[in-house]
Amino acid sequence: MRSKEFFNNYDKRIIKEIMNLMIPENEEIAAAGDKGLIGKLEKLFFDSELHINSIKRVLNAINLNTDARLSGSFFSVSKEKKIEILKTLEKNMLDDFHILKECIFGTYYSDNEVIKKIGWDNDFINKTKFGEFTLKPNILDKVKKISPFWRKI
Amino acid sequence: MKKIVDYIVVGTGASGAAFAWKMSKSGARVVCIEQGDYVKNNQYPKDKKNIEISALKEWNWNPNVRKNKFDYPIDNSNSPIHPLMYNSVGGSTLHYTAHTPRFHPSDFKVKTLDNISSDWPISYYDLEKFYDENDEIMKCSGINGDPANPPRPRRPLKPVSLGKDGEIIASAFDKLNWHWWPSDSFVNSENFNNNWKFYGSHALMDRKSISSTDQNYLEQAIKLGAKIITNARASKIILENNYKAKGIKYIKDGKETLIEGKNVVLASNAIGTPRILLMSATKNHEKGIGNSSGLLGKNLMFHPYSFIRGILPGNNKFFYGPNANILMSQQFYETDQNKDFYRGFTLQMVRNNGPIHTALELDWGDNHHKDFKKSFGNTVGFSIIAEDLPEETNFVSLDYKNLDSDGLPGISVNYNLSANSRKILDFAMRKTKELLMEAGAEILYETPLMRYAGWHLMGTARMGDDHKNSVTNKYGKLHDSENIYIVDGSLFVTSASVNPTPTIQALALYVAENLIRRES
Repeated sequence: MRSKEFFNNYDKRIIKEIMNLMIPENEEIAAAGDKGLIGKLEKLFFDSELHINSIKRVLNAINLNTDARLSGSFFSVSKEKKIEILKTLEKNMLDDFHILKECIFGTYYSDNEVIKKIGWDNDFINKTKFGEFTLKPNILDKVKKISPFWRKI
Repeated sequence: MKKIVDYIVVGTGASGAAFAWKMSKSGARVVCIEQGDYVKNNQYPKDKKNIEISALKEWNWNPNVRKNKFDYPIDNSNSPIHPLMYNSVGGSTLHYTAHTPRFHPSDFKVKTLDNISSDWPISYYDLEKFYDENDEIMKCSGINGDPANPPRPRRPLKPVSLGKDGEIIASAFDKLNWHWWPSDSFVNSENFNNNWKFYGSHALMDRKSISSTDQNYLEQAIKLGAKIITNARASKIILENNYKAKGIKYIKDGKETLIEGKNVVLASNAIGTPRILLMSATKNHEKGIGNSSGLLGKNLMFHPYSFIRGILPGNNKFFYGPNANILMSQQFYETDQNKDFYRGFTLQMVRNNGPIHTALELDWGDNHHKDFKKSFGNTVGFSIIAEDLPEETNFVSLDYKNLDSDGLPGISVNYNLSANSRKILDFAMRKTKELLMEAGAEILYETPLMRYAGWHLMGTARMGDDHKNSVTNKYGKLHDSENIYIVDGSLFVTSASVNPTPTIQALALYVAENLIRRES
């Protein structure tokens, strides 16, 4: 099931706008939407009907929002109002919004440039050990002085 | 001549595998039916860079999200906690954190001690030798001597290092004079060398570092003659007469087959097991097999979790080592008459995640980058595991609106958090903040109730001496049947406030041993 069957260009513009609001630019990297990550988001998540449907429901709720409709569209309202709309949806559409958030954050934080900027080494088996290989012998000294306190029955 | 199967075991996870091994070792002929398939090493994410993405999708703990062919739908719309599981050979042990504390003796006798709920018909001491046996086979790492628990033998593997962050927290516990102890876990402390960082799932990163039942119990069981039928979904128990099972029907490749056996053993977790019994309803068992008490599917327990994260000062890179098997505190485990709730909780230290899961825990918006920079690699978290008491109003039932890939009904979960659990969690959150502040941490955020945290499924076919208020007897046999057994978390009468896997496995071994004794 491909996204093009489900999301038109207008929908994608909204997704891009949500990405920008959720992860705005900082001094080093462009905002998630402006970074051009929507294609990657599609590739990573839109092979899943569940993810597509959750995003679809969130977009429908945005399009039905009274403030957005009175102003013409979601794009016509102020940034503060857009954030307010999304925060309301986050509370009222817990699971769908959670999926949308996972898609956006998953896409952004697996981007090579972002990974480099945050200093994340993808080699999960590190060359050096993370600390002492064994428990430090004296670390239990104090807790060992506690008398056994489990209830006997 | 057709060989007669002694035990048909439905499920090959924590309990089914343990049971199959013990019975096979005794010489019994065992056939396991497993709805999933074997998961080979090369089926784990190949590109390690995408482990966190895999954990959100095809390796999601939530069956409703990953939607594998062999999962079944679970309607969570009436539950603030969503059940999580993995359905394949090895079950959820393929994909768990492997934190493995034991129940306390008091957990089996809450009625006697605290005048609440019910006592189990068995005691800690009935299970003790099976806990020990299981620890040897699953290869438990840890250290004995914990003052919060009864003495136990030397752990088979040495404890996992606490890491610098664990040492900071241990010191804070010491300053408050609160109990803490290095976690027991089924993490192979000799194999993983303490040098990986957490990406969202232990097993996805380094499968050999986590003990799963497909790699120990089942491998041995197969050598001893047990057979595993994979991709086979149990659909219905077939009765020979009102009280005796003839066998079980399963669907494989769209075709339904009956396998006959002397005994049927259900090991499909506290949701899957009542599902099969409910689906097996007949004219004489209209509400499902084993349901004369009306309690089948009822008394569902989760462990309600709260979660708190604090930020420790400095640029720490606290990424390395197991995520949630570091140390725990049982300072507030037991009922305290001075508090306004019964029973208590365990505090479980949780380490940092990879970038995606770190970010997901933070708010989105203008402060996101600032919060991320401050917290990434610098946090320490605490899972608060509250004891959930059984309530008949918390239950699972069949859901005919959402069918699985074989056309069988899904499950509907109906669960409300009790007032007692809420009080435990509120108190625990205050104490956790006290601890984090003692450690010099700034509180980053707190989650009063974790939604996607139904890892521990318990209590839907409780054991007991009285057939009117329990589903099985103290040996896991249905009161209503002479040859149908349950060996999983459905049997739990109460939930304690620790991860249940070792207790589930000890129960399976205990049921098996009693059957062997009976046969001999």
